[in-house]
Amino acid sequence: MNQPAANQELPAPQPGQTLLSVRNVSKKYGPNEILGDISVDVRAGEFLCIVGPSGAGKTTLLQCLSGLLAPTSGSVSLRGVEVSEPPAEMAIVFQDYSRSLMPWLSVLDNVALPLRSTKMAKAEIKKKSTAALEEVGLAGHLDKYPWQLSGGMQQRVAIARALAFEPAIVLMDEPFASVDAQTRSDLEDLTLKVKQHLGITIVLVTHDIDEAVYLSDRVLVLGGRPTEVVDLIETHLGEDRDQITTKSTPQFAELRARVYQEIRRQTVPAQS
Amino acid sequence: MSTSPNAVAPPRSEVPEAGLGAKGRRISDRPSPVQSSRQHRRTRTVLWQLFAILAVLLIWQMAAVSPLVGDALPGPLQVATAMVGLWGTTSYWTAVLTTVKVWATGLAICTVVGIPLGLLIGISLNATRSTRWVIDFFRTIPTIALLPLVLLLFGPSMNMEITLIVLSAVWPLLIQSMYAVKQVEPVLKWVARVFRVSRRDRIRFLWAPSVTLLVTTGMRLAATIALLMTVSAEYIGGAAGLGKQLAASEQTFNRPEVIAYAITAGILGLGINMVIVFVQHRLLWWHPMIRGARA
Ligand SMILES: Nc1ncnc2c1ncn2[C@@H]1O[C@H](COP(=O)(O)OP(=O)(O)OP(=O)(O)O)[C@@H](O)[C@H]1O
Ligand SMILES: [Mg+2]
Repeated sequence: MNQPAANQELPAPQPGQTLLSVRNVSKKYGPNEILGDISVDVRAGEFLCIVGPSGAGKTTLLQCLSGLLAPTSGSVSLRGVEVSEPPAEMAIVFQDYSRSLMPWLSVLDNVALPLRSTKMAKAEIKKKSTAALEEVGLAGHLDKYPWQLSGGMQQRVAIARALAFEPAIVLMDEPFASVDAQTRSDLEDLTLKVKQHLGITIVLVTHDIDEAVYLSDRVLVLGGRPTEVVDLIETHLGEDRDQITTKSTPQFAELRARVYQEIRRQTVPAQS
Repeated sequence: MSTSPNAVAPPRSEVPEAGLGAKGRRISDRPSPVQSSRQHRRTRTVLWQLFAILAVLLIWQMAAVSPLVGDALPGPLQVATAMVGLWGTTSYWTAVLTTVKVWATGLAICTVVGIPLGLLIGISLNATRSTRWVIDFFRTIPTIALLPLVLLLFGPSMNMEITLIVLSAVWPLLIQSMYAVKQVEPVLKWVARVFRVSRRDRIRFLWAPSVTLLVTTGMRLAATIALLMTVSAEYIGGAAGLGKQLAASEQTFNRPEVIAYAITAGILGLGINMVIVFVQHRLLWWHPMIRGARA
C-alpha cells in the first residue's frame, strides 16, 4: 500500500517557492457547503497560520490539505504532485494529544513507530527519535508512557513524532488549544525555535488571533458562509520573536486589530 | 530497546513515581502511580470476599439444620466430608480432567472461529449490517434446546458436547470482536495513515492493543458459557465428565456428593475466570481502566 518513504531524498525546497498549492478547494457535507472556494499557496519555509471562527471548517480544510479527506472540488498539490493520500513529506500534529498518542507505547516508541516502517536501521531510528525528543525538551522522559506526562508534554511528544519523520511541511490543528496559558506560550516559542532550527514549513490552524499573529509569517483569515478566504496578511514581524516585546510592538497591535475586525465583520452579520 | 516497541512487555523503567509502595507482584513492574492505594483496596476487597463466603456457609448451615428443609439439604460439613472422600477416588479426577479437556477443546474452536470472524465482520460496515439479523437470530436460540437433536446426531460423545459448546459460546466472542474493531480510536488510524505506518506495524501496534480489552472480555464470557454447556451436556446428554458423575450421584441419592460435584464445577469456573482476568491485566497494564487512573 503505502510506500514507506519518510526520508525520501528530494531536493531541499527553496525558501519562498510554492510548496503546497491549494486550488479552488471546496467541501460539502451532504447539502451543507462548508468550504467555499479556497485557494492559497503555502511557501516553502514559511509559517502560515489559518484563523477563523469556530465551526468555519478549519479542521476540514486541514484534512483536505493532508489528503485525509478528499475535497468536493478543487485540488491540493505538494511540489506539483496532487495530494490524494497523506504524502511522505508531510506530518500532522493533531489537536487532541490524548488521542493521538498510543498509551501502550513509551514516549520513545511513539516517536519511533513511523520510522520503523522505513528502511532505516534500528540504531538510526533510536538516534533520530531521541534527537527529536531532545529538540522538544523531553530528553529525560524517553521511557515514560504518555499518560504519565502532562498535557503540554504529551503535545511535545506529538511534535517530536512529527519532527522525527523529517517532513518538509508540518500541519498543526489547534495544537495548543487544550493546554494552560503558560504552557501554551512555551509551546508557541518551542514551535518557532524548532521551525527556525530545522527550516521546515508549518501550517497551523488556530482560533486564537494573538497566537496566529505572533507565530506567522502570513496569516490566512477565513470567514463567511460557506467559508472563504477573507484576507492573507504578511506580518513582517521578523525572525526573532518574544512573547513580551513582540506582542507590545505597535505593529503587532495593528495586525491583531486588523484580523480581529475581519473576523468580527464576518461573524456578526451572520448572527443577525 | 526502543527500536522494537513491544506492547506486551514494556521496558522496565526507573520512573520517578510518587508514593510507590509497590509490593504487588502482578503488574508492579509497570509504572503505576496509584499502586499503593490499589494494594490497599485489594486487601479490603479480599476481606469482604472472605466475609461473604463465611456468610453463605453460615446461612447454608442454618438452612440445613432447619426443620423446614428436613434432611433434604446436606450441611457444609457433610459436603466437605464427601468432597474429601471424592478427592481420594480416581473417578473424580478423571471426571474433572475430562470436563476440562472437552471445555478447552470447545473453547479453542470458538476462539479460532469467533475472534477472526468477528474482527473481519467488524472491519466492514456492510458485513456488519448484513450479518446482524443472522447473528441476533442464532445467538438467541437457547442451545440447550438443541441438545436432543445434537444427541441424536452424535450420541453421548465429545463431538456432541463440542457442537453444543461452539453453538453457545462462539457468539459472545464473535460479537465482542466485532465491537472491538469499531472501538479503535479514529485519530490513531489517521496517525497510522499520515505517518505511513506499515501494515504489519499497524496490526501489531495499533489494532492488536486496541481490540484486546473487548476480545478478552469476550473470552471471559465464552469461557463461562462453555463450561456451563459442558457440564449441562454431560448431565443431560450423558457424556463422560463432572455432569455425568453428578447425575450418577443423584440417582443413588448421595446428596452430599451431588453438591460436592456442583461445587467442583463452581471452583473450575472461578479458576478459569481468574486466569483470564489475570491475562487481561497483563496485556492491558496501560489501559486507564486497569491501571486505575479512571474508574
Ligand atoms: N464528517 C462530517 N459530516 C458532516 N458535517 C461535518 C463533518 N465534519 C465536520 N462537519 C461540519 O463542518 C463544519 C466545520 O467543521 P470543522 O471541524 O472543520 O470546523 P473548525 O473550524 O475546525 O471548528 P473548531 O474551531 O470548532 O475546531 C461544522 O459545522 C461541522 O458540523
Ligand atoms: Mg477544528
